[in-house]
Amino acid sequence: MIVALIFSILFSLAVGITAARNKRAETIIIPLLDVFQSIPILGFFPIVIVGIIDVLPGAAGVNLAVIFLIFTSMSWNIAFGVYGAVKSIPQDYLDLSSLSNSGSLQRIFSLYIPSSLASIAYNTQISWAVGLFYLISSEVISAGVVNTQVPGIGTAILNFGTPGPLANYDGYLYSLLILVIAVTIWQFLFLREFSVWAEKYRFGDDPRAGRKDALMKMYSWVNQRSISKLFLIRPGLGVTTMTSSLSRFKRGFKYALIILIVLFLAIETPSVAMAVRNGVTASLISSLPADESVVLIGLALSFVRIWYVYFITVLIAVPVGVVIALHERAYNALVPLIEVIASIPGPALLPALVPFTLLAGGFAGELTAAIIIFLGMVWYVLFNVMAGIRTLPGDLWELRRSLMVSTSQAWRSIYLPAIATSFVTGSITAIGAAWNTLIVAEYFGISGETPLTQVGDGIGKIIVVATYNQGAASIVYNGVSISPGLTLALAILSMTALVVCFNLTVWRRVYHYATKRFAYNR
Amino acid sequence: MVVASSDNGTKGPDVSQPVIQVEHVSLSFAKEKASMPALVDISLTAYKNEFVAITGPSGCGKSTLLRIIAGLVRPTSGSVKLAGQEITAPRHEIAMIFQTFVLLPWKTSLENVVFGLSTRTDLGEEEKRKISMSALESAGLSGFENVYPSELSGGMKQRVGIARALALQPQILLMDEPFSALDNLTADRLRREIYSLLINPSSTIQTVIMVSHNVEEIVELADRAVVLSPRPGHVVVDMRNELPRPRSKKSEEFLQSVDKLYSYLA
Amino acid sequence: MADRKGQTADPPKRIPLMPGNVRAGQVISLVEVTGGLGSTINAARLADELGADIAVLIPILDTAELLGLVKAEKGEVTLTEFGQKFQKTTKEKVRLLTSQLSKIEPFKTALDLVSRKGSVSTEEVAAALQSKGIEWYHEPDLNVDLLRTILIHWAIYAGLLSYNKEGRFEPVKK
Repeated sequence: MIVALIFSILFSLAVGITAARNKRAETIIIPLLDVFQSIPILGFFPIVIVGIIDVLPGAAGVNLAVIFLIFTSMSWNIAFGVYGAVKSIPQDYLDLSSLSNSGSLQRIFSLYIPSSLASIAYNTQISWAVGLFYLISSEVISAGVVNTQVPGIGTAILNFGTPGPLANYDGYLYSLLILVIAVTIWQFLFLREFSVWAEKYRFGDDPRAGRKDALMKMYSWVNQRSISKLFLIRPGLGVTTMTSSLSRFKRGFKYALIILIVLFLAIETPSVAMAVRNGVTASLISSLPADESVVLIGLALSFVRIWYVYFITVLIAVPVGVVIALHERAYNALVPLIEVIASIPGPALLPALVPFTLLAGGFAGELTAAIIIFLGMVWYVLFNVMAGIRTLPGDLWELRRSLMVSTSQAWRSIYLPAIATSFVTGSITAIGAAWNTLIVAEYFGISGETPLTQVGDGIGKIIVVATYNQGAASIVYNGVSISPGLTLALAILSMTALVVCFNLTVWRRVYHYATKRFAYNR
Repeated sequence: MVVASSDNGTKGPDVSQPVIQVEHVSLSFAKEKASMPALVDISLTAYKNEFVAITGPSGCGKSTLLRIIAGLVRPTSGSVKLAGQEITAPRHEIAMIFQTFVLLPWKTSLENVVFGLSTRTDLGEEEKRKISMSALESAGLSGFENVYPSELSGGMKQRVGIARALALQPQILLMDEPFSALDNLTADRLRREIYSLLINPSSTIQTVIMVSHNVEEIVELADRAVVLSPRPGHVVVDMRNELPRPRSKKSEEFLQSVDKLYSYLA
Repeated sequence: MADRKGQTADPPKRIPLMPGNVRAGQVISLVEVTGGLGSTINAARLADELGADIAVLIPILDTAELLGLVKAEKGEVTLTEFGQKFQKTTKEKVRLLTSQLSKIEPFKTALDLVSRKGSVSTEEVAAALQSKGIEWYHEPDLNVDLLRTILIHWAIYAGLLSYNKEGRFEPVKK
């Protein structure tokens, strides 16, 4: 994991600095990062792992694949952070360094890297939590795909916690405990110290920067991460031109999409081709619609699942977030605790959860999935709601008191409108994260064994099952015969397409409405 | 819309009628086990039809004193009385205007003013609307009732803040650096209008207390200037300003008063 | 002012629009100060008197010139006849401003659209301006938000138009 983190930081520095200092690179890199951060990366993992193991078989290959996945999950926001930091270096400093004739290498080490440190520190803190989630999930998936397992906490939790030869509940609880302790130590010792240290490298004297509490870091990250630059392009904003950087972005975004589609086809064509070759022409005709309908039904079910869990999340997180943020003491006491809890990936809790959800009988699988999705979403909404309240100016509280505004009136006229913008931001991220959690939430188990938990149907389950059966020419899924390779490709492609389209249409509009109508711009 | 004259028929402060009495107010903050005095033994009286300015270097606690008068902060010792009654919490008779305007961005000008009346359960929605519309008109914002704060200039935002205070029909108006977030030109225009807007025979406002660090502004507007010393704040001087209104900023007397006030601050 | 002549030119010429950051109050202050110091004044002195630096003063001057209130030549600012009339009156100021604004863009287009359609949004005004080939003053982009600000600040202030709850401009109700 640390290896992946170091890679992420190095990668981010390289990409971020390049994008910030080179106009042409910027046009390509930033939109590309943008796409990567808004698609469910986990869905692509099975392809990656199969690809890497082809080249490098055995434990080394799996390890590499896991590191690669964690790396991808952590890099985007750090890269955006570096990009932002280097972009905002005051012109004076750049001029000074040109005047002093420092070489480009020297400039990187004496100016670009130091000025990115603060941003890296914040983003790392968050990347860690995201990375942990991917760590557990990817170890689980890789254990499922190939029978080689990487030694790691994720594998331990999976083996101990799920039915199979290694099932051992005490061992699972022990692993979970270690995970919690590790998360806590990491949060409180390493990351805090790192951010305090990095703070010294901050430009300017933004008084709020120094006092930024943990929540604000989380908040600014969430915004940076989830709010695709694309959202900034407003439909029908200017009658004439948009600001040049935005139109440049838009153009770049098109290139990025084309590159992605080409990449996707490059990766996918062999597997599709294989499916074509394996299936006789006649069976292909009959199997293709089957694959398609399975995928579409799964996608629709998962979509509904995510949204009903989202509404439950909102019903809980909004009032809780507002109340915590309003009470200074509760806020100070609870936020560090919530931070640690939020860093514990939901999937790790699964085995502990299942004995309880089993009480729900026939709904056990559905309930478990809902809880895992909930855990994947709730923090984003909660932290954003709290930030929405905490960033309100102090004068507003005095106004409220001097006008003697009642609590119910304050909720209606102040709290709910005040959180609207950050709530939408949090929701976009939460839904995005939910698509990723599906892959563990809908089906959790070792390949070849009875899964610990599974839902009736869903795109996440389809992806996992198809991945576990990559070797087979066809399998029977919910009574339908499908080809795992083709189905996997279709599933990932359609899930990504749905997420991206949804972002571009629905979320973008909602986001603009919210920022236009409710932003507290003092 | 353009109120040029300051001749409004009032004859200045009536010292036989005290409205706000600040009596031996002290305030200390607990900081790292020690107690830090912020304000020490402050006494001052504001009379009917009087415009009082409180000034002093930064950190003298002038804004805190204003918040004590508003009932937002409780003093450690001493008391503030409104017509003989001690102020222990915010009250309907007292309205406040803020440096940062503090408008709700999701409400229009009119809705912001109506929001100020939200606790007036004795008024119906239509009545609240009427009062708010006429307050907006007095503040020079007729026509702007459906405009959101983000589409208003700084000066107009503060006018909404003023309208919100006027709609409350308060006896006491407290202003915390009301013009310091505005550009010179805008602040100048607003200053020229505000005195006659606040203190006139048809207004419910009996006393205005303004915190400011702008000496010229104080000499232009106030009947009295109370200068506080830096930490801990106590009253250095309580100076009357009897220049006839309207006050010309170019006149010899005006400049003399400015110099005199500066001498207490420096 | 530049009323009829600019109009007859065909195809439509680029007509300067008002600066976006100037408020009516600032222009009124400028006219009052200029008039108060005799009818001609040096721009530097004017900036000093207004307590505004020259970068702030210039767009205000431009606006006042566009409204036909002053003439600025070689750093000297002079009140026009109309400007003098405007300075002297208190009651008629808004009425004078109203009639003057209705002759210049973007108000002319906005009023025209309102009289034809009953109400108009800022986006519609922007589109109409663009189709007439009217370009933004000082700003290369015709930004809708800025246009909205200008329409609100001037047209509503001068009572040319009213602004309804849906954010559309309407005729002023009497």
